[in-house]
Amino acid sequence: MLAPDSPIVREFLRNSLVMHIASRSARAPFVTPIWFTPHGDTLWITTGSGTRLAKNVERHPEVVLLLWGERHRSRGEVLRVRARATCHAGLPPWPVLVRIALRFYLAPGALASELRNAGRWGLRARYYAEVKGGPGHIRLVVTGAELMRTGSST
Amino acid sequence: MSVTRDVELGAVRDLLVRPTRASITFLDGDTVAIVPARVRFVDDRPLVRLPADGPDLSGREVVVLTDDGPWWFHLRGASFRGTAARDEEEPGFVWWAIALRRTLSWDYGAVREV
Repeated sequence: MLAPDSPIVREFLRNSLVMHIASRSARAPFVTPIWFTPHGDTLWITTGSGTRLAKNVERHPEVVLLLWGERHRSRGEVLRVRARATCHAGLPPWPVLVRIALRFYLAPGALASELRNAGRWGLRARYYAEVKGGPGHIRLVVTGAELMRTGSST
Repeated sequence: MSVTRDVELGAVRDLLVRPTRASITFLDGDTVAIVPARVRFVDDRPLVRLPADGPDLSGREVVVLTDDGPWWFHLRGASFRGTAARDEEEPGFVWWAIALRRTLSWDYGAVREV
């Protein structure tokens, strides 16, 4: 098991934009792909307060994440991360929002995509306005991690 | 009118051929487990390869997730919820077939009013 502050964990967190986050309800597994942003000792996710993910972590805060390090690492290695999640109403604090903007909307590839799709920003705003439970966010504190290979480890 | 990013599975069929990210999620006792998976599809039904000494998924509810894209308008994916059953074996590995209960597919680049 890798420590949360080990170099390889930091590398994966830096080089991954999307995680698969696995959570559970009383009887069923649930997984969703979602953007995340490292800031301080926490991974930040924005999601509606009434989404299935938010409801799950309120009752079962232990979650498991998969990171592919898609920005730099070659395919084949995946980092599996164990984390403790807490759900909060409202948007994350401003410093986190700034990091989210820099990471997902203003990064070189992101900005080009945003500008190409400027005509659909209004639709996106409406999509977010319809999110269940209104704005919320989840804070993840990493408790451990392990390196895996796709389709070859459990 | 509401806004959706949901699409028919056929709109993201390339993800079934060569998924960028793929995983399988299931309950393991009191905890949730997720494993990066090698997935192939036969008639839009997923088969997942796991090590032979991995978890016994027989009869268990699982979710297979494949997705792609880093930026908002590039995010696409599909999830498949169902019950796992042992299928083919190959040296060191087992292929698990999923009897589907629910499939969901999305493409944020196709966001629209419905």
